[in-house]
Amino acid sequence: MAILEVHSLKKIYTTRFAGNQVQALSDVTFSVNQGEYIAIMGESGSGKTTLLNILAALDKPTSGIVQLNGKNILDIPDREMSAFRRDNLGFVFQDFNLLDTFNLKDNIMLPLVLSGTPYQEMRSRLLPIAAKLGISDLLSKYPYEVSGGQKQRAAVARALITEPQLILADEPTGALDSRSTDELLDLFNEINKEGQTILMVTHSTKAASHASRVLFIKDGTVFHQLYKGDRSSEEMYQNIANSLTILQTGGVDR
Amino acid sequence: MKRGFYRKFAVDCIRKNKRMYIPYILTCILMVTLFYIIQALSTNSNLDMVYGSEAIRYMLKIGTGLMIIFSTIFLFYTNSFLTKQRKHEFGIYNVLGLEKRHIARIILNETFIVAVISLVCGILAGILLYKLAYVGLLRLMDAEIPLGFEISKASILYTIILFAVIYLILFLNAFRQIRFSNTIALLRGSSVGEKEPRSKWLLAILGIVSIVIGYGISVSITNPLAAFGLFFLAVLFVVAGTYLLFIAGSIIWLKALRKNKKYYYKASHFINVSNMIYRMKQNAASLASICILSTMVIIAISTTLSLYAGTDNVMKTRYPREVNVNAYLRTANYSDRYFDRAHTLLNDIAAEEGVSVSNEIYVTALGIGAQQEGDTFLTDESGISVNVNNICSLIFTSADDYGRLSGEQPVLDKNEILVYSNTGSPYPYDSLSLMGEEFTVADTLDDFPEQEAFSANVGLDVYYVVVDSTDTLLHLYDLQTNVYGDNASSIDYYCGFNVSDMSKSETIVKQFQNRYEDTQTAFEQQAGSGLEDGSELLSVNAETRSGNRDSFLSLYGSMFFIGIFLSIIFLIATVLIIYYKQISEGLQDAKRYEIMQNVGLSKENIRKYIRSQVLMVFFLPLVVAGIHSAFAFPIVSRLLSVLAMGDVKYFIYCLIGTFAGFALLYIVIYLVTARSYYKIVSK
Repeated sequence: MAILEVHSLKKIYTTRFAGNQVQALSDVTFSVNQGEYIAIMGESGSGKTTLLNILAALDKPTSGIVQLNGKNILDIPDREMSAFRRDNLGFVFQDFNLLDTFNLKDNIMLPLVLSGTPYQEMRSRLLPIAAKLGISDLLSKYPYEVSGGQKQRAAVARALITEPQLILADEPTGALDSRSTDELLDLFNEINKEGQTILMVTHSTKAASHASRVLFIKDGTVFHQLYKGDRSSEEMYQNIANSLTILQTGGVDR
Repeated sequence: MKRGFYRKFAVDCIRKNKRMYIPYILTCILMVTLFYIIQALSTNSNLDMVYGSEAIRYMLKIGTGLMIIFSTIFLFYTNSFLTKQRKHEFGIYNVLGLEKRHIARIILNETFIVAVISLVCGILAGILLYKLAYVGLLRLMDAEIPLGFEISKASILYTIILFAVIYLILFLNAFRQIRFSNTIALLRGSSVGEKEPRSKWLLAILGIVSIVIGYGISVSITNPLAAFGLFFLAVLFVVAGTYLLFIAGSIIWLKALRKNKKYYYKASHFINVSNMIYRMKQNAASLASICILSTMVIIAISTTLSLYAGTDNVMKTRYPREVNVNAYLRTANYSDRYFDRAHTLLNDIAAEEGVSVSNEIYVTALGIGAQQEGDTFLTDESGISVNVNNICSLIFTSADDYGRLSGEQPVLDKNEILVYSNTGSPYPYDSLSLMGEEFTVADTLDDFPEQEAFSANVGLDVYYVVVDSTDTLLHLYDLQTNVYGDNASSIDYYCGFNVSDMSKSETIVKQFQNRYEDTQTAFEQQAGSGLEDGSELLSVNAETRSGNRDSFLSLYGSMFFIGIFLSIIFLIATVLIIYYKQISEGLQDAKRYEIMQNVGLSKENIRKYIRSQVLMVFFLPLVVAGIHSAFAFPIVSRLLSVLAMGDVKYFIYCLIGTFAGFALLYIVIYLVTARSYYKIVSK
């Protein structure tokens, strides 16, 4: 069953001074099934970030449809948007986006506090997630007191705690060392296995090789896609690398 | 390295950071200017010529003291903000091969340049503005306006020394920040997350104790003379206490809020409390400054305004009638006819001028200062424990005079007295003992007529005592000359009346003064010439109320002017702090609110939380300033009573009115700030 459907999405920016029009997305169509783990790859300027912003409802497309669970998110009025985002989407960012005025526990609980959840319930949701992510001992620490990998795990916990339909991850491994990257990718696989749908935008071939499907974006459209199927991550890595080579040298569609 | 290298480098640095440096230098200039003006005014020798200059000078001295404290703290705050923002820059220099001592020399040069610019510009602006303030003041006092610029060399020197010390402290602090951090930390600079502040219980308790002492002084001092001495001490205690309490107490309080899970985990409290804990660390000092400055504005304006508005009331106290004659007799060799002569002469002159007289009173009295212990009044000046709070004033008058004033002639035996007390409760004892004399209290009085005529209103406890006869009065006068010698008080005579034609009152007074001289001469021939200390045995003084009104208005007008002037200085300072808070906090918080928006905080809610947070930050100082003002009320009204403002009613109204006006202005500043803060944050 498709949880997210994107139909002929188009986004045109008009630059403020010259009035030039820049087409960030020309025609993007794809769908994500419940429980899928999708990676979106593309060069800088290919429109990845624009796409993610539109999916996160942080930006509006020029035309096209984005449906989450059959509901067009573009129709949601502004004042309900924040609540919608809070309840249905979880975010993981490259630079973690943790608040240094809160300790990790409060950072993780932030979205629940914003939606007015009672403290007891927040606590009972927090503890199992923290245990799964291995940060139970760090909950009272502040972001500046822990490592990058630990910060990112706290950020993942914050995304998971609302039990969202979809997790959107923007270059989640971008600021991590290789060991933390491996740990985070394993973690994503693990929560994906438990049924969590994940959509990740990334530059990293290694990160993408963990996904069940990889979409390649070029010049504002979905140029190519790869299914992992039964392949191992290593095989997948090789395939992605090949695809990228073709993509970047301007090869023909297979 | 080449000579002049560091200076050039420093100039370059300032130029490159001009977005931060220009407001900083402007702040420095303004601080120097304000300090120079207030310091020069407070030492201006021309002020001495004015009646009441003591009070004006006192006010200005306190203002100067506060400016010193305030300038130091505020410049320290802005400067460490600047250094923090520039850590990254210093880190790069460090990487590129400048050693820390080289960086220190650059900072030293920068500090020196800023110091020179701000001192030169600040003092020049100060001299200009000082002239403006001074001319305004003199005009109000109807004094002659001198030409040219008066330059106070002492004040310039004082300003330079003070700010040199402040800049030295600033440099050392910046140097400390660079010296004790390594290159990497410097490179990360201002983006490094701040540590959560710790709870400092000791400081908070010290703060509370200090404020309680300050308040205690204000509430417990009933004697205006003691109030003069202790006022500044109370101010110091409260200032210190406010800083400590804001710095330490606020964090303890916020952390307690955070511990309360039910309260803390509500969306609005959650964001505000956690933000405030961080905010307080940097801003407690500036909030405390706002609080103290606000209190100063409120007190300065309300006191001077109440003097100005209460001028007529003061006039009534000082001059009970339109035409007033006071005569003072310094000998027990008393004869009624000298006072009677004054009385008849005055009436004769009024009749000659064709003016009808109304509401006439005349009375003879003797005032003795003493220290009260139960029903005993001690006059021994060498007494070991002089408790200023027990000093009171006894005013004796005869049964005949009291009968004439009140319309009820009392019948008293020798050593029987009537007592009226102005303390609010009747005199509680059956007897009264003074200088070995024992009196029996025949009755206590609920009221005493024409108290103003007795010129006793200096804010002390006063007992009005009616004795059986003038002879007893003279006997007491004799006794007190033995005790007090040269300091003994005189036998006072007052005569006053209103006239039908006010324009004639000046003439009556002048004529009286001329014609009474004969009587004085006659008296001296009979009683022998003046006393050993040169003062006359009999002196008279005739004045009209209307004639003195203008001079009082100009005096209180000029004090009001100084009050407003001080307030403007303090207001400018307050606005400056708020401006700095905006820049520094808005930029820091923008990122935080962006993150919260990403995890699902709506714009409406951001606006709502910002409003409640800015509200809390803003109104905490205002509320505390209100409490400070309320507690300043007792001591300040005692000080005012020295300036013959017996009636505190005006002061209460002015205090409440000033506070309301100030709060209104404050709300406007708040609204503007909240808006622009939201703009910075929501970008």
